[in-house]
Amino acid sequence: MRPRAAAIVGIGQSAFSKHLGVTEAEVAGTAIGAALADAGLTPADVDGLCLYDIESTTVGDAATVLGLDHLRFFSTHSHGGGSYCAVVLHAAAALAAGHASVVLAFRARNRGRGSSYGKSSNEGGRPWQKIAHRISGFYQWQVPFGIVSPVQEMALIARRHMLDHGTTEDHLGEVACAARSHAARNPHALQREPMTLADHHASRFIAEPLRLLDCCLESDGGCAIVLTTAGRARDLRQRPAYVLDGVQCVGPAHHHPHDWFVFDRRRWMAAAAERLWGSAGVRPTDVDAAMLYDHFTLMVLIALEDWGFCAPGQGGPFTENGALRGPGGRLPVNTHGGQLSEAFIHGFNNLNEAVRQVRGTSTCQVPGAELVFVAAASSDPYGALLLCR
Amino acid sequence: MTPVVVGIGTTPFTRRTRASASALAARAIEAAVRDARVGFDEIDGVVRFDRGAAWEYDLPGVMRLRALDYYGAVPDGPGSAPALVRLAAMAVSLGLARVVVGYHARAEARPDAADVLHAAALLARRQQPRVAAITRALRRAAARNPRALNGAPPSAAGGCAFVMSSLEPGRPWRKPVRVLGSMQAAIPSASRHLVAWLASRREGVLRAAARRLYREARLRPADIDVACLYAAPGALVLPALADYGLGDRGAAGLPRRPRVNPHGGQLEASLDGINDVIEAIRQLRGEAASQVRGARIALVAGSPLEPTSAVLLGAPA
Amino acid sequence: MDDVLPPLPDPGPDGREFWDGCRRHELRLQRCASCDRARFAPRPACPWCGSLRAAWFTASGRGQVFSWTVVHRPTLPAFEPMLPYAAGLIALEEGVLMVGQIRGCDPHVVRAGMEVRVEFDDVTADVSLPHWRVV
Repeated sequence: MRPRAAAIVGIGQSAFSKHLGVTEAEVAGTAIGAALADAGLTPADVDGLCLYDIESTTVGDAATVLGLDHLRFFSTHSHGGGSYCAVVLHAAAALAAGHASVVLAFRARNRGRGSSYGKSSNEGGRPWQKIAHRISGFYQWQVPFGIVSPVQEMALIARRHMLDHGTTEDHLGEVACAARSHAARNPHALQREPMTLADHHASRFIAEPLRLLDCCLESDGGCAIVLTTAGRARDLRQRPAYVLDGVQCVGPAHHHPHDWFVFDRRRWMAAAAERLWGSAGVRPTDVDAAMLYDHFTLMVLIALEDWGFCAPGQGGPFTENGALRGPGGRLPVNTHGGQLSEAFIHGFNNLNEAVRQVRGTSTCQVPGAELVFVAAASSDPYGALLLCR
Repeated sequence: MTPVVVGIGTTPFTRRTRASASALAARAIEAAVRDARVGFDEIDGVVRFDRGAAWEYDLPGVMRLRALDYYGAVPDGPGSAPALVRLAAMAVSLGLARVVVGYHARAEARPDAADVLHAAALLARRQQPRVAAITRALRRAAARNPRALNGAPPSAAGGCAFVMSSLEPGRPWRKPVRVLGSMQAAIPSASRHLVAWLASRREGVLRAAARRLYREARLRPADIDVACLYAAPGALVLPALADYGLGDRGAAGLPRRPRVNPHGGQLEASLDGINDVIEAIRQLRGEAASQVRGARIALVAGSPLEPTSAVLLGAPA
Repeated sequence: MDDVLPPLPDPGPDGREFWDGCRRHELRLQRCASCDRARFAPRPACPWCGSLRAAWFTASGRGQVFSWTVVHRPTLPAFEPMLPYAAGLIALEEGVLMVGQIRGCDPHVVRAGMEVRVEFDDVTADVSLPHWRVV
């Protein structure tokens, strides 16, 4: 893709909460309104929409519920946190193709414990609590046997990572503690109390080796971004966060444990990383801050390995000596607190923070940050982005 | 890079199936890949209907695709088949992928929303004689179509796929069908927001989007030889003709020009319009069962009852 | 009484033979007819060579623990009485990995490499679920 041809020119969010008490559509409206105001644009300016396919507010709703009645491009993206870079890449593509001139992307998600707005699998509560008595699809190969939720799937991957590479509890704990240290500075974060490694190790096991503090939050909230062409971006009120480059990737291994170890996922991850860095003309060492999908601490380590910040298997040692801690660490990660400590918006809040780092407005600002890396979940069909000044 | 459809494939269409939607998709894709004469390892992109039963990461597991560099989806529904073509063409024209597979498969019928029929009835009120004539004409077309299962209900299981790539020197594609233009319009869903949908009809939202399509492709309605219009029920042909500026207003049934749904439309198979895309491509290649002579330009339009799309295709140059 | 059953498979066409085999207390796997590789989970095509042709065979039922977790937190009512329980990835002799519950020892002593054998529970009249017993 042509570097810096598209830019994120507006970001917005709702409050983050354990229980907002309003519908996801209202949460979306709040986040979208804030993003458009941030960009100095109005709903009438928006002619493109890139959505998660699990968003309860559909494309059809957008014209009615959200007042977006000038849409002439829309695409949807599956796999939740696996695809949050895809919405940006497709938005940039639509702009480049001339299919749209202002593209909106958003995610509104009420999954706090207190939120229960319906029985559908996407409304309130935990998806695995809504598993039917009879299951089809790939979950039939694990749920009847007691591997029901993502944390249990990840636990199997984490265990092997510890066996194969010597990854320790301290490594996982450091990911959580670094995120918490960033959240402490962030007034919007849901979990701001300081956390030490001892605190992490004392938190109860969910599915060994993963503990409560290895897992992302359950929360209500929404985030939105607005993209336009570089030319138009220059006339708007915020410093643009340009899309330097990005890739998507999907191979046959999903986090479904019976696939993860069977297919050589390192091979296509290495190919995706090479595509990204080769096309962008920068290296991992040029990156000033990284937003990695942190649904589980382990996945941050995997992302560091997958995208070439360290050698395969060396994600654990990379975290040592405060490498992940902003503002001055070797590679500050999730400087807003991430999904682990700010809120779980399927990664979308990572995008907003990436833009803040480029703008210089983060609560944990990396001095002089110019290049920010964003990666979607390594456990799903994934991708990565580079945003820059 | 000019996007062109270089291969198509379908499974047989049946009323019931023992196969999963994934298996049907795999078979359709295999057929399309054979038709295109590409290697499986050349495929680097996939577009599909979202929330569908066959996910793109099933595909590399389902069939020997290498890791994909590009994937995207369109809202699952009968408005979206042309949008698959649009998304695939976008990827190819921007160089995001070189060979993109688009597919859709169903293993069972979509449950009918009562509001959809209500909306269709609203569209067709006061034109019942013409609706009846159109319905009869579509049935006759389906009866001539060896792929269609005739009788009610129409078949509800099958898969279709296409392969999109670009014209490149030194790579002689067999009968590459050109993507001349495409559009999407976020019409409210008639089944979820009937009042808003009626308002969008009154405001001519779809009509304006159709004009945009012709402008982008630098074509006029009179240039269209074949129109594959999503029509389940058949009454939906009427608003589509009006929206896209097609046909002779005085015609009793289907217009003579363009030829509309020579395959019988969704009476061939109830597959959310993906088979309409395939028929249009066959027509432009001169390979259709009910071939329209000299077909050079085809329109494919999705359902007007929800977020929708349309695409203009051109015969091999 | 439905509450105490785990969610049961709704066997689609691709996996029906696996679950029918479980009812017969047999572990049935697919083997690609073109490249001969065994695979799990059941799929319409071979993920290595792409062939749509496959045959089913009965596996030995022997394997080793490849990875495991001890589940502590409740997820579904059916599993609550068993907490904490061990579940893992079993590496079958035939070269595939399969998720399964591990029984026959304290869940906390499960380790990679432990030998296990498949067993079946008849949970309903038409569904039997495999699990793995430490040898």
